[in-house]
Amino acid sequence: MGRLKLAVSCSSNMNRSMEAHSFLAKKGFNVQSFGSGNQVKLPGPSPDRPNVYEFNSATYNDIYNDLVMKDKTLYTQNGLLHMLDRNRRIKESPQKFQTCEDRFDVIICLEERVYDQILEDLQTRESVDGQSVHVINMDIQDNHEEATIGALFVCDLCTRLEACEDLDNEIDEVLTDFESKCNRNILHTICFY
Amino acid sequence: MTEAQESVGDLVASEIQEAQAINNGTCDQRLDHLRRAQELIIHHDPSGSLLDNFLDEMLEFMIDSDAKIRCFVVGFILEACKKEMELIKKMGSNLLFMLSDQSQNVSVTKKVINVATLLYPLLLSWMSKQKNPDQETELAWENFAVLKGRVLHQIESENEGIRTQTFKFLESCILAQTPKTAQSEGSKADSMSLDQVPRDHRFISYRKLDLEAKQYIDSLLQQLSAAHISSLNLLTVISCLTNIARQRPEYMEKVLLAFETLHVNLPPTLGTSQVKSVRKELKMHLLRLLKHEASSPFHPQITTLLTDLGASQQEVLRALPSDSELKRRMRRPGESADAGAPQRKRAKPEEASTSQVVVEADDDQEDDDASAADSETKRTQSAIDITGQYLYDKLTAKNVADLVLVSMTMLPDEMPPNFQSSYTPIAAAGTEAQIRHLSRMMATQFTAQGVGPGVEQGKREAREKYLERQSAKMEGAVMPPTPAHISASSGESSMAPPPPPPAKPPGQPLYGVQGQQKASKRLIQFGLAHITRPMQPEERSRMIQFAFEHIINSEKRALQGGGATAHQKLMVRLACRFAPGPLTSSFEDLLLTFIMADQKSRSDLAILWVYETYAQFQGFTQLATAAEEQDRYDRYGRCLCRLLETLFERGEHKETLFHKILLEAPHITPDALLCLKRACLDKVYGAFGMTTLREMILTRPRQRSELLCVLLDFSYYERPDLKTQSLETAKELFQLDWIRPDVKEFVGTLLENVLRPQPPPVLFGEEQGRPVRMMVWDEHTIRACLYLYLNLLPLDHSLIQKLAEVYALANTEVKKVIFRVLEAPVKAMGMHSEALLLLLDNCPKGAETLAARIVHLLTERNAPTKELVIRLKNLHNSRGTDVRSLIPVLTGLDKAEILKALPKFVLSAGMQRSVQGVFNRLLTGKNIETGAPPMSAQELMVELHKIEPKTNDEMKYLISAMGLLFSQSNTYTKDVLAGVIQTLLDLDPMPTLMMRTILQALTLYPVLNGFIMNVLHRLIGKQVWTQPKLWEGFVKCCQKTIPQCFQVLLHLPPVQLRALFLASLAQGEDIRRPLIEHVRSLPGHQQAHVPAEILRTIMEDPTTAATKVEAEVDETALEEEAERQMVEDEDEEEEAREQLLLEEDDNDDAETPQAADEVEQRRPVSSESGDSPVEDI
Repeated sequence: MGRLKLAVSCSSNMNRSMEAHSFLAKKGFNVQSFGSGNQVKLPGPSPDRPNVYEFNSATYNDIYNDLVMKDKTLYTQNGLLHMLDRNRRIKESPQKFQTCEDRFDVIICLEERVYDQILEDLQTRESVDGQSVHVINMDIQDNHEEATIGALFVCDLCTRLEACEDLDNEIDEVLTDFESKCNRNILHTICFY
Repeated sequence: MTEAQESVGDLVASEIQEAQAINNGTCDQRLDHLRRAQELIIHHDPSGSLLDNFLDEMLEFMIDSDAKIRCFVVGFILEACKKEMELIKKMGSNLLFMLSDQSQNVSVTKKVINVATLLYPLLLSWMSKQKNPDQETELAWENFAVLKGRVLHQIESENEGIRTQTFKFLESCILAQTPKTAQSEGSKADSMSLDQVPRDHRFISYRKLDLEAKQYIDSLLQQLSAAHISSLNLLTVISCLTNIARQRPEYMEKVLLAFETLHVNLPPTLGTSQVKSVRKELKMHLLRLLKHEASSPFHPQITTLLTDLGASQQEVLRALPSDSELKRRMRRPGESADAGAPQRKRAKPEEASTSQVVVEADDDQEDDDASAADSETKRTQSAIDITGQYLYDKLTAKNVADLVLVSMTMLPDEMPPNFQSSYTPIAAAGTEAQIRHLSRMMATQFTAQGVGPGVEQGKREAREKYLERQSAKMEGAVMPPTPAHISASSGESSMAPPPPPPAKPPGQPLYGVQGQQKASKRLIQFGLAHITRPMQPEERSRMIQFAFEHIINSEKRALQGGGATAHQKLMVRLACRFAPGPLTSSFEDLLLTFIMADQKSRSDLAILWVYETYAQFQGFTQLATAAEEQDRYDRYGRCLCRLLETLFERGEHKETLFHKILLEAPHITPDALLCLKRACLDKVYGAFGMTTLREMILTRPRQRSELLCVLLDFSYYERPDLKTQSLETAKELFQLDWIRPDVKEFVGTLLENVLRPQPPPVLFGEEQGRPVRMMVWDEHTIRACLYLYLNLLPLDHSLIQKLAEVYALANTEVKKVIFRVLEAPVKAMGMHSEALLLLLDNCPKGAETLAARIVHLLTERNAPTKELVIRLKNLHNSRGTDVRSLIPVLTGLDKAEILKALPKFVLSAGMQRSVQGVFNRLLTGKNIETGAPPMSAQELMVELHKIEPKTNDEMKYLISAMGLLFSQSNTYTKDVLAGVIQTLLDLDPMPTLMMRTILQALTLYPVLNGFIMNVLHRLIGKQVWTQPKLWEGFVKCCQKTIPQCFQVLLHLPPVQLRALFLASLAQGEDIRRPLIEHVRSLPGHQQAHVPAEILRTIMEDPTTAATKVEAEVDETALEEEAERQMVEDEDEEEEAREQLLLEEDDNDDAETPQAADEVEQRRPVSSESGDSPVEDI
């Protein structure tokens, strides 16, 4: 089995998915990252005033500049600027999963809501050629530390999946093993393009 | 062809070439080239000529070693077909080939299934549009049907991915083979559906496709209830079924029912998170179904299910279509929005009637099955509805409270993980909807267990239908086979009903209560695996035993059906091929009993059994479980012996089977041999056993020696019949060259037994007839050992040598017995036997007596042959054997030899008893050369006289020997005696005993008086007085013959005359006076002839004249006395020496049987000739 085409997805394609993306890319995985929400949402000065951007149109660079402009100190302090800086070096802009035409072997969701959205999308797509894709969910809280730890887990999982001789046949076992090891709730299903 | 096209063609060619050329490059590079070529062929060539041109080149990659390339080729086939469907005619077989990929590569297989999934709707669509399909198209369709079948087989595959793809393929098939309806949604407008297939298509049957689709759906639905399904497959099936439900709403109800069942009966193998995933999947799909316009009749079910799955009210509401839309839908004809159980109940008869119509309209079997299966689902549904309604009525507050209380006792100690993960608080407890839902859930479980009013009704209906069918069958209508489900349900009803499921408290999800009962509670379609439970070991073995008995008892039917051989094989193999254990041994018992019940007609079975075990022992047939060679051999032996023993115990060892087994068994074990032995010992039918034994010895070279032992062992048994049979058989076998050595060896060993200090234990035992073990040999035991040997002796004379060897070493007792039993065999051999002569030549040391005995036996009635004589003589000379050994051959000896031997006979104390025999032989025997007796009577007597005895004893023996002769008055007539005396007179010196003989002759034959007077005269002439013994006899003779002797006396010299007077006077007889009388009475002239000196001697008293005479006589007498004294001394010495020797001889004699015989016999030697000193055997 060659390299797997991987997708990691969180809600805004900012923190968790990008952390995993960066980590996996460094390890040489064939990976893309996505958000599944309607918009890219970043913490604002207060919880009820988030910074909201459109997927695909706003680049990380744009957002970076925007935030610098808005309140450089705040966003430096809470690490947003640092994160965006990292992100813009990985890819252009946040991508929304639902609009992506690419095919994957495995899609890893980092939040149950994201999993639901992605399943909803995959199941309502017009079926094309019946190629299967495994969708896996692993809950990771949306903060820096958890994102870093989460990326390690994701990498571990991907390594295990790639080691499979026959993914379809072994994924159940791998996931059961992995679940007991990382002690996180794993959801898994299969969809067809 | 335009230039552009040409250049594209060149490009394609170069790409393909490069792809072929890169051998060592990565396969990605090659794939790139191929992809480019494909792109060019498919998308840059409107004419389609390139596809034709390069198709074969592309397909060549089909056998590439790299799986990715092969996958690509499969993909290419799809693309090519999409572009030009005609090509399926060419490539259908390629797909089939790739499916059975030679390297069994999973990814290729999956790719093929995937391509088939996509290709099938296109193909069906294209086919159905063909107005005038040619042969090739039809062939392509058939080819694809084969492919389809192969793909569907993969549903049983070990590989999850392949199964997943197969489910998708099923989905695709179902969608393509079912008609689209107005409510179908979610598929492309041009997607294939059954309604596009023309009903009058030449080779595609609309009905068949329809039926197939229904079967496919059932098989998909069945997957949901399979206990072992993996989460991945389960998810796939759920998604497939949802797709089907959405696109073919007619199956919505079935699918929903299946989901409902699944929800309460999730496979027990799923882990916690897998359960969660499945529930999530179910929820999402149900939400999507909820949006479907055809789902409105099922909204109550779906919403309750969703609530159970944890969907929030909001979610449900969001998914529900708006009220206005609902209303719009409600106006549609058909089913109303709130259609519940009653409506569906009403729908049922309609369904039944339609299926009835179908049966009438189309007699197609599958169609009937399918409709039956369909109505089966309907029935289950309606059963749930009926029971649900029934339960709903029962779920009053009081009942529910009771149920809760009762079920409290059954609560598990720990909360099961499934329950924990799936439990959702009941939102609307106690409401009408919730009660209805609960009753429905319970009804589902009830129905699954086969209880409740709904099921009862269903059964009733099924039974009615079944009876209807049966009666139709009876009337002769050709009916398709009864569908399995009917018999299954009737079968279920005949079984004891399972215990009712424990009641559930309201609101508690049913599946979480008791893990162990979960599997059995699931609502499932009929499947043997589901309604059966593992049996208890005892029950199982009992059932197995019953089954075996049943097989056994069906012999008659097997015979009638011509399957007797198969039946026998079956029984034997069942009994033999499994590992030994209680079950197998009970099989064996049954089989044995069966055979014995009618052993005459089941002998083949018995033989088959024996052979089967033997084949196993030899490893010709495989056992179900491996066993050691020893075990296998034991098994064989056991089988054989049990058969034989049982036959024996039943007294059937006289029957053919017993012997057949022994004769046909490939190998006879020692135990089996024991059985045979026992059979031989049978008093009545032993002969049968013997015959079998004999046959076996003849036909079983490998076991010959063992078998021979058994046979020959009987020879030393006491029972005469056994002995005889054994001997007769042995004699018969002995004639056969290839068996003789074995027999010889055996008898040899048996014979050697007698050399042991004690009789061997084998001789003793109940069977042998000698129950008490004896520690010393006696005649019986010795005879037992010799019996066979001696009887075989006449058949093979060379055995005598061995006998002689043994004899030489044996003790006296044995020797005696051998002597006694020897006669018959030796006589049978005859004296011309080479072996006998050889024995005489090489007689083992110590066996000389045996040789002598043999010769004696042989010559008892027949004259010895020359060879015999020579050999015996040699033996006598070289070994110095007892002279008696020469007696038999006396007639063969020349006179010198006889004369040499004669004194040995006559003078020896030990020989006295033989003397008569010797004389007989000498006088009556015929010399083997001359034919005349070896000696005449006269000769013999003379020769006896010539013997000079040295002691008084010898003298005594000699006298008695002569006495023997004298007593034979027939032989020794007066003439003979006269001859003898005449001859004796001529001898010089005259024998001592001569006077005794003369006196004897005188006594026997007084007529000889005159002759004897002459003899006396001659004696006087020979100066008889010089020999005192003779003189003594002379005096006696004169005394006896008074008065005849007076004439003789007158011729004596006066001195001798006076001595005679004195001697007779000393004996109380006075001869002088009668003599004086005689002289005085003489005529005168005769008196004148009497010399004066004589007269004077006569006249004077001898006592007065004695002094003078005595002086003379005394002088000589003194000398003689001294001389005699000396001789006597010497004689005494000699006598003592001889006495010593004799004692030694006696000792020797004691050991020789002859001596012993003589001791034993103690009977007087009769005058009859030919009487042997040895008793006849």
